[in-house]
Amino acid sequence: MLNILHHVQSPYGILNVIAELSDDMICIEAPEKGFYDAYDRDVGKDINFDKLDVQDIVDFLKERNYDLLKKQESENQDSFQGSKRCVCLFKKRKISFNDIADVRKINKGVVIGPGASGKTRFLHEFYNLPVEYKAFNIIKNNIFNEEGKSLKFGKNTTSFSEEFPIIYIAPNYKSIEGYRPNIDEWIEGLKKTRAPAIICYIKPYTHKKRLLNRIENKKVNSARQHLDNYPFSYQNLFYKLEKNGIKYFVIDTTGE
Amino acid sequence: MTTETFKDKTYRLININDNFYCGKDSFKNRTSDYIINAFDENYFDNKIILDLGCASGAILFEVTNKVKKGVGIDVDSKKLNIGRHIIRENEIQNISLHEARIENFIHKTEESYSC
Repeated sequence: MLNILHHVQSPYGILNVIAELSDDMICIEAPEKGFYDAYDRDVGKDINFDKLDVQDIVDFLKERNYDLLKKQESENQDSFQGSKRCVCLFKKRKISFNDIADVRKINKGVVIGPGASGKTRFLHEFYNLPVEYKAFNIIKNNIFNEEGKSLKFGKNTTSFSEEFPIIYIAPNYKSIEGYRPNIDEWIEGLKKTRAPAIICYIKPYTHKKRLLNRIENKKVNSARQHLDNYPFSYQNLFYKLEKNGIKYFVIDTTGE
Repeated sequence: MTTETFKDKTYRLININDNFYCGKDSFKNRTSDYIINAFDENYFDNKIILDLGCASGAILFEVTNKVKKGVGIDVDSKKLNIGRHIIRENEIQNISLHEARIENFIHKTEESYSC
């Protein structure tokens, strides 16, 4: 439940994470015509949005796989400035989770997900290889194809073989901003392969914890390489996959 | 039935087991009512609910007898203290109120919520 969107400086950033945290519904009370109404403590702080009409919120959440279930005018308009206030209920489209047995039934597939979402562990499990840790909770990628290369889409391979039917897209594949995942390019890659996506799914808190572990335990020059992966909008990924007619499997890697 | 009026200007009237708590303007309306009424009658049964910007927790108190757990977040300690007072007085076990900025809380919570 979120009734303060027009009082915060980054409403869409908050909505983006809330769309991941909620398992079912989001309830928002907001003015029909959006505006920024700073609390006294926030006067003078920069805001990072132009429009926050109810329709903008509806559009934003639609791209995160939420449908507007109900929109009704609030009964309380007295203590409120601006145009009429509405209560909106958004329903999350149910995520259908799969397990590795489902993936074993397909003859090709591409593993996707942001950094530290469990792709390498999944691939080891799929190919029945023991995991080897290169640092605390960080798995070394020991999977190589016939040419001795990793199964990274684009750089090393674009095809599937009987022995290696599952490959993966690196999180930073064709990143535009730093190492930030570029979902649109993932989609383009998937279209080229004509293979279903296998999504490694985790909740935000687990994701952040794992990324921080990587920064602490992996020898890298830049923390950004990891932090650019957070927050990641799985909901936006689902929306875009469905919009492009790409079949996908969702593997919950939270507990691993 | 008791009625306790707080000097602090909370707009919402809170009713827990016929004990009424209100701010000086709260008898005008009950915001929590029409928000709750937007949901199906049994929606909250055994659910885990998160209210971001909960103030004194009026919406959560409205569903306390239904939900498994309710979590409220706000930065206004005065309003949160009203809610905490109500929690103590009515020995409510399944509602907790926390002082935090929403922007910080959502990246730290390790729970999933139905709504």
